Amino acid sequence: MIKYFARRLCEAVPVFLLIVTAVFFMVRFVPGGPFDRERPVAPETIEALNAYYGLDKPLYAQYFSFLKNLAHGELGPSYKYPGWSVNEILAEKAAVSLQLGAFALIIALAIGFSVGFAAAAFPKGKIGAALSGISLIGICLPAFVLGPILILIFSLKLKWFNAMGWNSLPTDAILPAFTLALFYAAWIARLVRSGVVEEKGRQYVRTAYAKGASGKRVYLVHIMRNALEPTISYLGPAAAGLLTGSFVVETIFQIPGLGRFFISSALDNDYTMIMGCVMLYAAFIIAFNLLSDLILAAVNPRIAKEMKK
Amino acid sequence: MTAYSQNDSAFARIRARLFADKLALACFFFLAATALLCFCAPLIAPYPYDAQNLELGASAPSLAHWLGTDMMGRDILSRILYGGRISFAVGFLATGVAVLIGVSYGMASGMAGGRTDAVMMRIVDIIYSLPFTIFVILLMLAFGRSIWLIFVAIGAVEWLTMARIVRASTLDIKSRQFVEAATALGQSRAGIMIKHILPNCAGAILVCATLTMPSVMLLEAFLSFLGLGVQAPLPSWGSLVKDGAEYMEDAAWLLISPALVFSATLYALNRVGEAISEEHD
Amino acid sequence: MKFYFTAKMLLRCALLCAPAAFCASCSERETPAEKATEEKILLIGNAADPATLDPTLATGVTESKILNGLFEGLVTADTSTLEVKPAVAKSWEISEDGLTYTFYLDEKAKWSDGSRVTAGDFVFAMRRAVNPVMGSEYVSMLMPIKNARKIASGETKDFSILGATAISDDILKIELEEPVPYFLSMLYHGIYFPLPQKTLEKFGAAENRDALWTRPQNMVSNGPFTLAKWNINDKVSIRKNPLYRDAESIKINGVDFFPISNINTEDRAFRAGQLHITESVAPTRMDAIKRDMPQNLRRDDWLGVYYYLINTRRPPLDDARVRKALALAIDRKAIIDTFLKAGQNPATSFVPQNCDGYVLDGESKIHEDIANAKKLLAEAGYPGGKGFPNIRLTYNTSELHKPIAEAIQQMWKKNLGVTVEMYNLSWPAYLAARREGDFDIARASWVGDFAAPESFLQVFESGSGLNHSGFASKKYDELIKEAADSKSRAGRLEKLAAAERELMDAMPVMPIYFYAKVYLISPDVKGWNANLLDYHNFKNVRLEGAQ
Repeated sequence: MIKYFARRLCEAVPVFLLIVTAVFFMVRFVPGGPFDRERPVAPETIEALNAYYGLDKPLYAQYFSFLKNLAHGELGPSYKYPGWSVNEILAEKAAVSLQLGAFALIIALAIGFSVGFAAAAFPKGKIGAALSGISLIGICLPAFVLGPILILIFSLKLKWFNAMGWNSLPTDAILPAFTLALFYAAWIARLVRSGVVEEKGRQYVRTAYAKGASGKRVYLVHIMRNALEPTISYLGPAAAGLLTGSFVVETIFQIPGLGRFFISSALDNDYTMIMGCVMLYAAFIIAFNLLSDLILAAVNPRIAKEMKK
Repeated sequence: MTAYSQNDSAFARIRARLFADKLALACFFFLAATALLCFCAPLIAPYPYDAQNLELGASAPSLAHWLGTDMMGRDILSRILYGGRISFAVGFLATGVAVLIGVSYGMASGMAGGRTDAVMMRIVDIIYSLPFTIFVILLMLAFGRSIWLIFVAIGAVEWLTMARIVRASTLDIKSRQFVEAATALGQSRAGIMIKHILPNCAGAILVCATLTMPSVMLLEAFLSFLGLGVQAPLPSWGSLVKDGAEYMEDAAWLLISPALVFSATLYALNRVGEAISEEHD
Repeated sequence: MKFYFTAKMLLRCALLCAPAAFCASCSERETPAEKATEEKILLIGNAADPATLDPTLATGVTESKILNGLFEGLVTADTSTLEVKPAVAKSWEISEDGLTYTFYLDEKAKWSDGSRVTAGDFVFAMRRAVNPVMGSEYVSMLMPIKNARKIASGETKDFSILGATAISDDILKIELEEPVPYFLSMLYHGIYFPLPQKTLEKFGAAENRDALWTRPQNMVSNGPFTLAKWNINDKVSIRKNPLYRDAESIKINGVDFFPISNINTEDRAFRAGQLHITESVAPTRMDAIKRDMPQNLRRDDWLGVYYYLINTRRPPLDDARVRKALALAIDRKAIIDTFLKAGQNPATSFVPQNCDGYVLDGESKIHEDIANAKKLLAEAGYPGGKGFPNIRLTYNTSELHKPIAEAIQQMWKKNLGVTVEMYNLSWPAYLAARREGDFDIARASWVGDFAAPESFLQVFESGSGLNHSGFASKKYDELIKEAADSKSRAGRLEKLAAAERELMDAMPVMPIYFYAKVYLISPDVKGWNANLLDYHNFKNVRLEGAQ
């Protein structure tokens, strides 16, 4: 098992490097430089800035010095925010996104599992149809519609929450977390439901019931274990997505998280920041995929056995 | 997993499942009708999508404008019809690109097997860990903004799941007797792929494509939110919903009708996809 | 089935948890703005995050808003009239020839670390700003100073030749290349703020962009406020500076700036009582605001113009008749009434009217005149738009630019039979397209740096880095130079008007509307004065609750 994960981790390194390299060269094809401003900037100034940030060197030299810094864990200075390093900004913003994302993940799991199980409990009836219908709302309504609607109802009409911001009140996280969670909740509900429905029809479950096992036991031991596999695999990338924030939700609720940097850095040509965001995301995905594999192995001995190979 | 046999085609199975589920069937007809109406937009739309009437401005639904007008006095119904053309086109073409890449990649990987297969699947894993939104945005920024590029970019992003599913089916089918028989009879690899494996994967591909389409359409809406969608004044559902969302308090009709059509379409696609993928006893 | 109960329990949990948590806050609570009024903290919306709080590197309005609270220059402006008033300099003398300015500094002026603000701090700041290594965006504001251009262009590395000298700690002398009649009104711009040399040197920032000196714990400033907090994308807080030379005149304890980029988010925040003043008002909400909360809506004239820039190098736009025809076929009033909705003034010329007493005579102005537009277009060889090549209308992604471009596209189509293709670019791509001349018609805007017509007219001088139109007129350049040399104010304004007539004749630019600052403001805020530059130093502002 440990060997398996060591191997996976080793494999992740070239994956990571490949991603970094691809994006590094891709951002240079985007028109406009990081120092373009509306007001005229003298060519001397651009030269000086390029020299200062090492952008005057040939591309391959820039690439190698980037790798060298990366090896030291240095992502370099942000071009858009002089005086701030990418490490610093990402660390500060990651703290916010992790909190919000974790909260949203809990909500998504709670809603997703309850709706998914309930829908599976009534696979044919009206209740089941209604529940799966509800669970689809999250997939059908873009966050930029859902978010403002929630704000209008809960903060402008009912005055329960602030309409924007972070940290001024402990309740500030509730609306954005819900907005963020609903999309994921819908997917979780769908996966849980189809997993449970599928397992319930299997021969071994029927056998277990026939042998006189109690409903609860069959449910917990047999159905859960197998039905949750697709959900757990989905949760890897889902958690990575949630924890790295969302541009839409952060913009609408004015939250100082990571999500906005993913988009704004690309729109601003902030090369170092783009690289930082991409690497952070890739690292999250790789880590969470590993984590979900670990959980899968813990839940299901068959998978653990495969990993030992 | 779908069961395979020579005499019971995957499509027949899917049709049977669809007809068994009344709601999904209704969704299917809704989709067909909507898509048809939208593609006929130039014939049936009451107004051109960009005809303005600044004096009229934003007006509530009326006899002349069934779904009202936006602030430039443009007819919302016409814009929804034309926007549907774009959104469906985005959906179909991006999904088509995804299917094309995903199916050929997944099948090639599954057929090759062994080491090649392992390497090819690792590559899919790598691309999975790219942040797609940055990727799509960089593509759009780097290569200018044409609507065709949006299709290709989105398709290029959405093929991964398809490739995985097709590969799994290919591996499964490859080991079956009729394929082995065909191999023994000396059929070429390509022939086997097209004649035997493709038809047997069709079900899985169709399900996956049906579920890819709504996510593609949502992605287009997200790009519209960023202002990176189709070039104005051409509408898409995403951009209509986005523009409508700005008016949700004061001219709700600008949001309600596009959002209803958009959400209903996404819902229907999801519902149909779920229905045809469902395992019933 | 049994497991249904588990599911039901989970469901019940999920449904009960949330409302239970809310109940505590159900009752009418004090809004953040009400609380802030009591604490005398002004909450203000700022469209974007400051990229930097280093006055040398500041790039725009969002930063200068904060910097005006943190720093104080030689002079300041009256926030109602923009009349120049003493600040760190308590008095000054101007030589006969208008080339030498001598400033006498207030010995009470202190940095927030307690040390004195000296003439050397000003010289240091100016030298740093003209240093090409710094890449200062507003370096053009320093160009009137003797030898500034030489240093900024890298021609020389000898900073001592810059025409700014500290005669003593209390006396600063600034020499100019040529007389600049409006020089004093440039001096309250952020680029002329003094910098705490010791602090910058301590953090290695004297010749360095990447420095830590602007962090709240490190920053030293000399204005009415000091930096207390700077969380990117969250907020910037400034608090009263007890060491400020005129500390007793400050009526509030601080200002919090919220970088709210989404205009609808800002609107909701104001209505939820989280802001005292917004940066702007969403045009989409304007009708409702006029109806429901007119007492909160304010509209001030603002020294800025929204215009379309024409690339005069590309056919068919190389023909002045075509350019004029396009400019004449725009219904500016309809655009304002339909999209902007705040009674902005239609731009019938490039320089905003009544800027420093400047007036352009009526004949040179541009008004909607479709008959004339059609005639001009026909003369140019495109009767009824026939044969008019496909051209592009480039604009950068924004909620405001899109509808205006859509409307103008339709006006040209309807009035002239001309079809243009809309082309939307991201901000850096848009800037690159402008710089490389890769556009036909591009949306643009200009906000004056100082309250004089020159701030606008200089944009189209042939050497100007902002003039991407390809328009280059010797006569125009000379008229502007003559205006600077003219002895009387009337003579100067006359020359400038002549220059603008040249510009309007050639029409490398289609003015569309003049900016107005439109925002929501809480009745708690008193003394928020309006001026053309939207200049605020928060010194006169008071916060008084309803009680």
